[in-house]
Amino acid sequence: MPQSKLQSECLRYDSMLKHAPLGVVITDNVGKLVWLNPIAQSYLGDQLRLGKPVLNSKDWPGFRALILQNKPFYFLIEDQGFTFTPQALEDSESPRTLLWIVPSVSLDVDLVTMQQDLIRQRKMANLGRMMVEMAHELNNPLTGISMGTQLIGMSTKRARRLLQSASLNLEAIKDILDKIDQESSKISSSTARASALRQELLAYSKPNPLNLRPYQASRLIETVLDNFRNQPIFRHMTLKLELSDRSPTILCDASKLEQILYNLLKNAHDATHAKGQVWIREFVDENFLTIEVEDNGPGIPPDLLDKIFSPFLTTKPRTGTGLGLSISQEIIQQHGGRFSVYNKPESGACFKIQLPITNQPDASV
Amino acid sequence: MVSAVNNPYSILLVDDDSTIRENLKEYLTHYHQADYELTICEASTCEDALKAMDSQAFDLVISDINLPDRDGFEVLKSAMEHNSNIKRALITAYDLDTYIHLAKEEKIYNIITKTAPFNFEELSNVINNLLVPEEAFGLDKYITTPETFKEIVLTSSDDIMPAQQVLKDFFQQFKLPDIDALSIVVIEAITNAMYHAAKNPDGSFRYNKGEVIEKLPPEEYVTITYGYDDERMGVSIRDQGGTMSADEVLYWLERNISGNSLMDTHGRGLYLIHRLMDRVIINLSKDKATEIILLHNLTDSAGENKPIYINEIA
Repeated sequence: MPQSKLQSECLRYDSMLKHAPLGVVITDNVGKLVWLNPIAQSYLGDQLRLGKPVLNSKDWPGFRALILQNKPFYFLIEDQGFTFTPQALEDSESPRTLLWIVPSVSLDVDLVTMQQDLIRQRKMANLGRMMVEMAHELNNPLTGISMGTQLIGMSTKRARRLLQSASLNLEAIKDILDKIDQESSKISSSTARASALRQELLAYSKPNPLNLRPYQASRLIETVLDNFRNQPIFRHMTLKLELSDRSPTILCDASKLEQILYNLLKNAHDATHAKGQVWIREFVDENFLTIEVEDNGPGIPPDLLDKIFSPFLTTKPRTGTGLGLSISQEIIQQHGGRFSVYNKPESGACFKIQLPITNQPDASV
Repeated sequence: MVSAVNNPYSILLVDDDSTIRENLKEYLTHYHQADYELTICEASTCEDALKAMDSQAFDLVISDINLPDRDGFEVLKSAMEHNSNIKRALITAYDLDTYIHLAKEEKIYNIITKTAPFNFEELSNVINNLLVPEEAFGLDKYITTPETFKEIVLTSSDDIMPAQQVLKDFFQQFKLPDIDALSIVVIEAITNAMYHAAKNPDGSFRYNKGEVIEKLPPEEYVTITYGYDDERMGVSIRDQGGTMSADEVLYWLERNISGNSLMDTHGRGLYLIHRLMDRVIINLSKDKATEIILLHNLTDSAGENKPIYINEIA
């Protein structure tokens, strides 16, 4: 074959491999990366470098065996589990190299489960510290209950003394009954607060497996918001929805996402005294779907911004337990996503939920 | 009740939990028994408290530690700057051990226990003692049935051992835990009262510990009173010297609580009493008397906190 023909043939193969809709990787016999095409690069991340081993030398023989048997391979990037099935194309002419293709890479649900276990373990380790905080959090409602019941006792004692004195002082008796009513309602709200703390702590410590299913993101967001629009609590709020026209599919636990969005809207409701505006926006990039929930309230106090996801942090001491955002973050991390917040320069808080995109079709259609 | 009252005492209550604050106010307004009137102001933040103190003079400020803007020590610090005679107390769920260092730095001698079950009677005691410190003395302020009281007057060092036995029997009667430790510690308190109350004109102790004192002059007698009611039992140990100050008490307690003083003989007895008893009240009347009152609850209603309250009459 003439030199020029050979050259153009080479270019043709080179171009085919570069633009093939498959990841193509060539490694040498000890696992050093000889070549890879852009798709493989995008699947396998930026950590692969030409001339550097794709895996450490200890793991390479096992991995090579997997490739040769076309077995699935799991790997982690930034704590997220992925799986792919490499296929070997043995290059008979140069047995010292291995050419393998990567048809696709998907978020691996089994690994997500493993990751959940890890998160749970970490959570249990935190639990000891949390219990101490919890004990302190429970103190005020319990003290309130204790004070209230004693004060009711003192009030009834006063009433009995009045009755015994046989002077029918109706005003005084009415005053005592009012006091008893006031104390009872304080006891009820303290009890409710103690009970809410208890329930949230249970929710925090319980293993909470995700029921992951693929959904078209904008459809899911729309359904959830329609539910909220009908709720009396959001009656005076303006909820504005800006969806993307190329909404992707996400693997997600719909009821948990609903819980998170409800929590964010409830926060916006409290921050804007029940009559603010909330924008819910959908953005899409290569790997992630982003849902932004922005309100026109005063924003988050700057000194709380960096600890807003810590358990028991609350700006609503009478009603909040301070666990809502911490649990939301937990759930989003279980999805392999990220949860963040910033204040808009013109005031208002903006929460950002990022969830990984999947290529599975929406199962709810 | 005395009707011809002077100006009522004014109290500023600082707590961000409105239920707690309102309940404290309700109790103090209607059920705090004293021959003076109280007026109560409330604040829920440090800032509100400072504003209130700018616009009005208070006799007593009681503050929670965890406030939304700053901490309660700031409130009490600033109270002192407004009026150096003001009385101050913290009210918190945290125990003395957590805050002993700050309490010592800021000279806070009373940390009221805010836990369930809440002890209103104790609150009344602390507030009354702060407002009228002379009334802090005497076991009858804490135990409601003086007819159960018995008294031992110690007039020589030979009286110490028999007194220990009497107290040990008394503790035994209520099946207190750690009775042996307790009776040793009580002896330390009695010995301190006997040997450290009297001083020479140059400030040195008149007696050395362990030295036989055959006969104390009547102005150096040490009096032990003990008794009980349905709620608690108590022991008062009182001398007529009064050489310790509230700052010294906190100094020795902090050394012991922070574990820096295993070798200290000073303060250790006090620290152990604090560990073993539910409530300790230390009444100091300079050059006149020192009284240590030990209280132990006989019902299950005791909280985990073991407060020490210090009252000092200048």
